[in-house]
Amino acid sequence: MTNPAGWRQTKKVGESDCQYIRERLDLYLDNELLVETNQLVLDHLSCCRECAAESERRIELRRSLKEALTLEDDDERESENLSRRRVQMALDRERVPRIPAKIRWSALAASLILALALGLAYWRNGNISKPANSSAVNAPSSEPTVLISAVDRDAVENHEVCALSYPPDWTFDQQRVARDLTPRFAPLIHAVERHAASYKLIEGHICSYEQKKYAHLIFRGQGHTVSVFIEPDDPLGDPKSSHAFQIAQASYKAYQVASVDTGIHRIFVVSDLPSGENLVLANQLVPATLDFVQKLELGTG
Amino acid sequence: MIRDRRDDFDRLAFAHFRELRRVALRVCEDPETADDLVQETYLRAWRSFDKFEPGTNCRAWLFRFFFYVRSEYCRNHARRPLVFSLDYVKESELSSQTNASFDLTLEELKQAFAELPEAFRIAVLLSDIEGLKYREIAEVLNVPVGTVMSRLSRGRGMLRARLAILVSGNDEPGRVETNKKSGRI
Repeated sequence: MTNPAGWRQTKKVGESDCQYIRERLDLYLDNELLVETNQLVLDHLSCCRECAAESERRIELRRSLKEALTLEDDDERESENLSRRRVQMALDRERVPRIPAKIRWSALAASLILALALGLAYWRNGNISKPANSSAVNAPSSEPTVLISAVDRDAVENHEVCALSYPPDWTFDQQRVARDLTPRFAPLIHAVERHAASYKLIEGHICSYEQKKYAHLIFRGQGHTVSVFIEPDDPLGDPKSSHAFQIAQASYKAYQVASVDTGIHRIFVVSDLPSGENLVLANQLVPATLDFVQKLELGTG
Repeated sequence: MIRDRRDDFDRLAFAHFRELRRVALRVCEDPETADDLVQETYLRAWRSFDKFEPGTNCRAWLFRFFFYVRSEYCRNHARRPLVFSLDYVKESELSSQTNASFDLTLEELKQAFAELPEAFRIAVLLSDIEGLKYREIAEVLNVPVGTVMSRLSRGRGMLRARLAILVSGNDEPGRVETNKKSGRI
């Protein structure tokens, strides 16, 4: 690797020759010199005792260094074995067969399609899922929705224009109310009233709003007015399974409206109560109302 | 097929586990880091085993992965850049000092080696301890062969100079020879 030019001609071994050789001694010991340079060093070492001794010292130093750095005691052997096992375990984990990317993506796509289909089916069923019996109704598991449907909005507006129009001293007249509710809905009074807890029934009638008719019960208590509406939804609709009712609640203006859809009727509970309290009240009133409605739908009421 | 590949890798790569870990322990600051890097080296090597050419030097191939992994580790841990002067010691200035005789324990020798600047220490380690050729070291460290030669020359020279200083401190002149029982050289 080095150029011996100029030295080969000088046969006499002098100080500068030794310097030249010693600068290449490590290359010589590493066997990295070109053949001719290697021969020059060999020639020099054979006739220069000092450089030969230096070469021996360097060889000895390397041997000692290797001995010092490769010497292992029991602790080091143990830690090496641990490290080896650790690496082997990591490799084993790495070598676990993996699902090819193509299959992974296909599975993901299938899952998305399935989720979409289930979501669609759920939506078509009116966002409803099961109570244990015909009267039981599930409260929504999440926070009340902010958006409001047109039917909910109509119920709230009917509550405003109808229920809130009654004076504070309005007294309940059961006979008149039964008459106004028509024989079809008159039994609703008895069915629902006892579930109203601290709220008192003050009025009941059939009223119209936006060309829709409602059986309307009005309760008062604790400074609040509460409406329970039954709206004939779709006379030709299919009644939903009794195991799939859930109360949905929305907020509109300053009111909360909780609702249940049977497929043929919709039931609303509207009030200016806080969201949670309206929901609690709805859970008290809706099951009885729902029972009544289902009997109507089955023709057994 | 896969089984064969695993067996080939385990046979070839784990044959050099001791050397690789030894190098890792000498160039890393602590044993935990060394083991982490060795593990990562083997994982990378396994992932790239398809590219390994049978018949070539598997040990140098593993070392190359190791030093690549290590450089990544150093970058990620914002390690202080290696600073040393390549003109630290001139070969001509060192040559006379190598004439001194050493009488040192293996532990003192180890310590002197550990005090070498990192780049020199690694070059000496790969050459004198692991026996890699200059070209292989250059590939492992991704530097020119000339740089390897320079680092080796200076590293060895500095080591000899340090040992000479230690010897003068011990004030016990003698030949460089190992006494296995006492552990002195």
